[in-house]
Amino acid sequence: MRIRTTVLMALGLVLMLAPAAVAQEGNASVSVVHGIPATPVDVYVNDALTLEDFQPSDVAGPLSLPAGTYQVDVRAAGAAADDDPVISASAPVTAGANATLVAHLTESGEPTITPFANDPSGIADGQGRVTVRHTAAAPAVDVLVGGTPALTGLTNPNEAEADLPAGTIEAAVALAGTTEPVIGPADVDVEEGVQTIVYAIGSAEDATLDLVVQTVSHTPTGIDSGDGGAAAPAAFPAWALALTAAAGLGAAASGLRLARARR
Amino acid sequence: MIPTDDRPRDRRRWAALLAVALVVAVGVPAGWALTRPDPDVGSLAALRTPAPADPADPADPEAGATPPPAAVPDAARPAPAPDPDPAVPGVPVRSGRLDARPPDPADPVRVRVPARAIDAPVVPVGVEPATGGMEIPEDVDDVGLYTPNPAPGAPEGSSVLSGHVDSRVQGRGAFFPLEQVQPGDVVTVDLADGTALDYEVIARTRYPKAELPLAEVFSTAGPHHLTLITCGGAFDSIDRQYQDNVVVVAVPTRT
Repeated sequence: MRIRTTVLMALGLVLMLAPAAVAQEGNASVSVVHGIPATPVDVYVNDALTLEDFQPSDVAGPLSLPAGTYQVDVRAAGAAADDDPVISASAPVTAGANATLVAHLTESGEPTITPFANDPSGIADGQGRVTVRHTAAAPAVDVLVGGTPALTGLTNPNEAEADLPAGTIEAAVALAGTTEPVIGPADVDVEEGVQTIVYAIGSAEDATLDLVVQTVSHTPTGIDSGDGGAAAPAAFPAWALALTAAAGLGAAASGLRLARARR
Repeated sequence: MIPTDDRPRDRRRWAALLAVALVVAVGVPAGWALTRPDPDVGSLAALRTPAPADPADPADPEAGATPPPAAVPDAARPAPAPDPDPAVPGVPVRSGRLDARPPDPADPVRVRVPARAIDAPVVPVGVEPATGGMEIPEDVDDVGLYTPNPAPGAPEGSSVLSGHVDSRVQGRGAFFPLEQVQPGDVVTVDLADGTALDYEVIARTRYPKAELPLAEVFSTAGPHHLTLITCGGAFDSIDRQYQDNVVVVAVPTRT
């Protein structure tokens, strides 16, 4: 089981370093996850209302965005466009990146936005990738699969992942070092070739802990589906070429004779 | 031989021959050019939505030839303040709650386009590890369903089915007739549970392989549709590769 934990140093760092999973496209693929309980919001991107009345636990996107730096402002749903935002962040988006912006609570319960890089590439045949992202106001947790700790010591706002055989797993989240679930257990589909991202959201103190699931598929680089050549458009056929040439010669000859006959 | 002593008659004959020869010399190549199949038919506008940043901009009627509009304005040109109550189209939103996830549709077993004599078994495929491209079934009679993407019958996204146009060894493939498919043709996907899903073709487009809009072909959000893909266009007999991809898009029929 492959486990990778990424520490996010600063907002936007991940987007800048994101692997170019679909690098042949100039645009980035960006999704947004709402992980703050009981708070519908409006999301503005570059001062344009992009997600209206965006509900907790909802997943928006993916949007295909040109590379650039985006100003993301989150306001309470229905608030005026010039009200002070609840969360305000500047997110650099690089070409080819596949990222999810998560509006969530910090460990201490403050609203924030964290960008995560998604990477559904390189998953072996018959397997799917499960990525768990700790975006809840809660201390370090362990992720239990089938009741057994599988990913341990995960803290907000970090992630851990594992490639697992396709199928259904029973996943739960427990405080680090314990096996008593604080979220779940819940059945999570592990789909072949798909990155299934599970977000722990909400607040332990407010008893609003929950899971949000997003799936990301790898985009192939192209499609080669023939090496016979029989479907290529036919060239101008030889008989037609011969006929055209003969007619052209005929026209030239008759034109010449006609000109001579006129003399 | 035409007698040369009868000059007016002679002229008429040569003039008639000249006219016939000119008609043939121009008509044969022109007729051939005019009877070539159109590489692009139909419109993909139904799958696309206008940019939220500029609601005055109408949906592109020639959408088949251009990329979809960006959903968010360019960073260099911040959009003006939005209307008090603007519509926000273009951004698909779904619940991420576990209990809200749709049940998987039954597995597809066969794809058929009766009007074009396409009728092939469907097998699951993924990514070709060596190339990063979509895996294509070994058997040219099979059609591959790209399983990381939504399956036929899913609530959203593109279900991608790809088959051989042909093979040097095995001859014509299941999708050889794809270039003949026309808007309005019905595509039927038979499922393992004995039910079937009907789709109606809205467009057929030929893209140079380097310009295939991969993000759109493999989109996992937005209106659900089928994307049928094979190779086409000119054939490079040295690389043994076609230059283009033929892409047919079909949307669920309204019943």
